[in-house]
Amino acid sequence: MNAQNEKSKSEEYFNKDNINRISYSRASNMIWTITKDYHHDPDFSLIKATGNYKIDIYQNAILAGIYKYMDYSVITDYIEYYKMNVSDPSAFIEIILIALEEFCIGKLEKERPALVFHKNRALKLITQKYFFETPKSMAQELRQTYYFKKIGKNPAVAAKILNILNEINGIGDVSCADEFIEFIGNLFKNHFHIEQHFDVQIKQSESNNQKTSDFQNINESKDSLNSHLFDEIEDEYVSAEYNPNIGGIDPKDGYDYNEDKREMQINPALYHKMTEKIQHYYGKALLNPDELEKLERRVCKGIHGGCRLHITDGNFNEEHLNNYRVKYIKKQKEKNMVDFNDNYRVYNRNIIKLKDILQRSIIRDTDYVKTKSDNGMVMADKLWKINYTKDLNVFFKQSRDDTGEFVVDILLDSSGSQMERQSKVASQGYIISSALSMCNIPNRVLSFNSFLDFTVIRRFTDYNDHIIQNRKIFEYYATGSNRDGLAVRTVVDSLEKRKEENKILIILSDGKPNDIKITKVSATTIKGEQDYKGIKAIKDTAAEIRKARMKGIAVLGVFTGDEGELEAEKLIYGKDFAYIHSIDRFSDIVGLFLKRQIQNILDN
Amino acid sequence: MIEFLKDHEVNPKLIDDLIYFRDFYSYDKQYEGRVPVPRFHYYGKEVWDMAIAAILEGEHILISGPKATGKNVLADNLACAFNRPSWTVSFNVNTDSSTLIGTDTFIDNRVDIRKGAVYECAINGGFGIFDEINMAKNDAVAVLHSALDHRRIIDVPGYDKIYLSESTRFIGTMNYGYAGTKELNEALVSRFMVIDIPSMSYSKLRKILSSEFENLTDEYLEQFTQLFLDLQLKSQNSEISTKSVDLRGMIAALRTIKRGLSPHLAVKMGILGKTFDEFEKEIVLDVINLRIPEGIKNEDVFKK
Repeated sequence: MNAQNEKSKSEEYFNKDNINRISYSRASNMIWTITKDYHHDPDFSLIKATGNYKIDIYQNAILAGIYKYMDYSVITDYIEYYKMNVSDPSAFIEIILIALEEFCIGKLEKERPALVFHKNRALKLITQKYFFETPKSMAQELRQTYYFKKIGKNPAVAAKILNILNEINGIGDVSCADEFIEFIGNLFKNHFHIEQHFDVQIKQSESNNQKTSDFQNINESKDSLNSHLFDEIEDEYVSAEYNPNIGGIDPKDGYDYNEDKREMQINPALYHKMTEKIQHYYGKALLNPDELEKLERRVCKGIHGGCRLHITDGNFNEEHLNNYRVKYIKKQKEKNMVDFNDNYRVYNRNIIKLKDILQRSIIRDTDYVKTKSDNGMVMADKLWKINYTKDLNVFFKQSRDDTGEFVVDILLDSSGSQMERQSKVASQGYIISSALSMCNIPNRVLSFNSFLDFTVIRRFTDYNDHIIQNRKIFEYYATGSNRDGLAVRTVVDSLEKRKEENKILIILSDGKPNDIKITKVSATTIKGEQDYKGIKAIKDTAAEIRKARMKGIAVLGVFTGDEGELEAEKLIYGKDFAYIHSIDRFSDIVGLFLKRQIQNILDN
Repeated sequence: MIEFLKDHEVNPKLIDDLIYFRDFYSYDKQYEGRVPVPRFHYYGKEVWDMAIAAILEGEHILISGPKATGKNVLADNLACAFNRPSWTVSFNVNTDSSTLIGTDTFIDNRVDIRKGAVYECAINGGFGIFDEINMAKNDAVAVLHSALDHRRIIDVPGYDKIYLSESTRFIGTMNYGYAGTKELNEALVSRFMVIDIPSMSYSKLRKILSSEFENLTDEYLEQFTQLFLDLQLKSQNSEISTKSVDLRGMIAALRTIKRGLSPHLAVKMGILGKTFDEFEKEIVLDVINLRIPEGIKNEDVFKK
């Protein structure tokens, strides 16, 4: 019964957000594998994943081809141009996409014969559906005919469709994005006059929309179009609003143009104001702006593109000292302390116990093990045995177990979902940190949450702080949302630079990465970062945890949430997380897991 | 071996001197079995030039480089080229002076020294190969300092002071930054000439695969070479660990294909199987799928 429950729960997680089954990082890796260029984060707005691996692998190859053989931004801008200037651009865009597919796959197939296999398999799957679907638009008709011809069928369609597709077939000679655009331009020119369909469209749109230009004009003014494109690229970051809403070539979803929710706005004044605001709420930044920018460039990538970081130790500027937030923190600290003092003996016992476990299992620094052996140092008192017994083990060998030095980072999730157990989380952090400090293991306690565009990382204690400083952990309070993946990435970035041989990261979290904006004004997002929730966020966090482990950092999750949410925690940490039912066993469980993690490091 | 070096365009003067070295120094016939007969050749002219020049000048060399670049292949190749018996010590955290130099043991009713690999190597003029030298603790390796520098001596407490034979050389291999490796002591590194092995290149890999599998078709020689490079690039960009960047696994997979296994299954066993993390498995599988998909037949890969 339980197992069934668990299963349905995990299925729910996978289906919740209707996110494609191939995760972002996996799809990105496909692109990188083909382009061999790991410097860009691929954009999947042109190609929507279908959820079917067999089709997606083929479509990702097309996308990779665009990245590899063309200038991706020029292509998307070109498509964008049609979208802006033609009222019903679907047929045009479809032609562009088909031409891209024909061109990229044709080139890639020579390099990777494996793609022939994937193409055939994907087309078979896609066309299977077409048998039951009549095309509803010219775009769909083009697409279906294109695929049917690819699998060797000859559907009965209008000659104009076949003519267009025949011309696309001759695309092999194109070598760069400019030539591609020229090719498409000629293709449109050749077929425009014969195509009644286009005519009507343009005329309609002319009457409806002032912006729409005559199709021929586009071709004639190709030079200026190109230059216009490049201007647009340059202007990308200063224009008031840049909205890359691009259609998909996903055969399943059809060819409508979903407005991408991503918005980009750059407004220096607002940008500055937000920095000011965040300092006002959370305390002044620890890093100077240059360092911070470098760090952001390093970690705020992929799904976290556009996010910002604020790293602080909770000290406020003079002018902010009297604000409400400071008073609130003070109050919360008192509350946390009250809880701790109420249970002082329980917590203290936990600290001592954990300290003992750590000392016993980890820091047996110079632990000599003597073993009898038939070679090594002579044990004089055993020499008599030689002529009288068969036991020739009259030597001993010394081996030393040296585990090396340790460093530990403790990361507390301080998002709003932890609100009801603030004092518990603070106390748990305090127990671990104090036990480590008593063993002279350098440790750092940090909390993270998200506020506006910022992921705020609050440092309570630093590696070499005196144990008294640990009391600062009680300044912990829960608010805002959380981007676990980004926080982990940021912490790992600095932890991996420590010189100690064994690095451990302990994360106290409720396993619910969640960062979505619920604001009236969309203007609060500055660089257009993406929503972060559900399975997408869980997978990203899980990927970060695995990356950290790959870097040799032992990561231990301590689950602080409710039992019902364990599923996500399992997905994120694999088997290495601790769920603590009662505080009495806290030190035992954490100690046990730490021991196991450390053993893992040493065994590898 | 000499023929190979000549074909490989290694500096002819160095080859002449190498031949002189081979003729000049002989070794005890009982150690004939210790002269390695390498299964693979190491490809890389520059590395050969550096290594031969350093060894001829009496230097010890430290070969450092990432996984699957042929560090041990090179070490074996060198011992073979110089025609010297070799002693290999695999270093680990418990390696200490007794493993390297020797320890007391009981022979013929009396306590005697049981010679360690370095001792044997020193008196017999062999090549000592220190595998994964940075896995050992620095203090364990410190006993080698006097042997490795100009003094060329090992003083064994309670026994003799031994002098290294003129033809004795030590070759260390290391993979910097592996889990469990230690930072090498400066004093130790200063006693070596360090050869940084470049990661596997396209032409090198092609040569290795084509020499190992003669009837591999051109198309799949290319695909397998590129598959390895794809994985290598991916691990250099830290998207995956080095676990599946495994040349040994790839060659083994090709062998099983030759034997008759379907190529996709063989690659799964030889490469994908090397990593155990689910997320990483997915990514590696995609890389494989983009080169060696399920549909590939045995006959496509190997000519009949």
